[in-house]
Amino acid sequence: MHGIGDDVDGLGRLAGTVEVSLAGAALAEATLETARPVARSIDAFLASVERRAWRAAEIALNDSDEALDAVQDAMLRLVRHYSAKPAEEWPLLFWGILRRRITDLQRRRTVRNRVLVWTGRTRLDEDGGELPAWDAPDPGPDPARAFASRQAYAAMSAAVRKLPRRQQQAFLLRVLEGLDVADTACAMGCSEGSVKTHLSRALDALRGQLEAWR
Amino acid sequence: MNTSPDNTTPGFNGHDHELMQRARALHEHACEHVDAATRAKLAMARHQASAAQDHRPRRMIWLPATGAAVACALVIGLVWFKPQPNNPDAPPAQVAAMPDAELPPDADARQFDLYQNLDFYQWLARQPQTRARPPGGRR
Repeated sequence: MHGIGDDVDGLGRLAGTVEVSLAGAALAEATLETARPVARSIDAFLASVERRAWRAAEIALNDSDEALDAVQDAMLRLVRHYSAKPAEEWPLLFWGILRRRITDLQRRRTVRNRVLVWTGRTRLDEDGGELPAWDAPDPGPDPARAFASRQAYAAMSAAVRKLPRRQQQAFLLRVLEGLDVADTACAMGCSEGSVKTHLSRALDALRGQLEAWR
Repeated sequence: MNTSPDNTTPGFNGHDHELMQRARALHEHACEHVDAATRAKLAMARHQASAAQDHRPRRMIWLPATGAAVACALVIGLVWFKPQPNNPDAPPAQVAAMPDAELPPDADARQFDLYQNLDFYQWLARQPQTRARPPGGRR
């Protein structure tokens, strides 16, 4: 039997759902953007960002050596051209430089792969086997837990890597690095609306991947 | 399908939030556990970048100093070697101060024949002066 009490309960549940949704959105907004301390020197800034930059480049490029080259090049360009800028601008400039460098390497790789496919050659290691797609991080003190984390990270990296380039950049900068929408737009060289659209589409594509990341 | 533009809108549900949190947690964990070899390479890259910064101010300091020195040398050179007014009628100052007797014969002079027949002209100068009558002139 459907009565007034059921309607009240339904409205209560609906209100609760809306509250949870709004609370979740607010929480996401609060936790998505990471406030990092302003570095006192450019060396301190580079030391604080180098590992995250390398991991982000590794996800995008799927090659640790190329990721290292991209990070080193970004460091040099930042120091040579922008070290006189205020320290508050360094993160934005650095991620913008790194993003362009990664895009450049991805385009070169695309051309190289086309040539290799056309000539019938594949990339092999010294033993003749195909190179691994991903270098595992250091296992750490707890091998079982580290292995699970490593597997989850590998799954996440593979899923992010499959995204279109602009969605991948929006996810890396906005979600993993924690830049706000304006800084992400500046680093990507597009409008804030485009950042939101790319991120929304990236989350659409990744929505079914969460179980594999646990 | 979620078409909301950002997580600030209610379209980003709890699942999206959980997904983003999990992705970030995995990324942070991976960033904390980078192998030693890669950490060393990153540190080396950072030191090279910092070294590039150390060279930059030194060059910037020397650049204005060098420019100022070159400008001073240019000004001194212009003042020291200032060209004299080019007057073809006036002899150069050093040459004008010299006595005429010390002047060497000028090969480009118009009266070059004077120096070739110098004995004749000396003899002519010693002769008594006579007034020459102009042809058909009045007395």
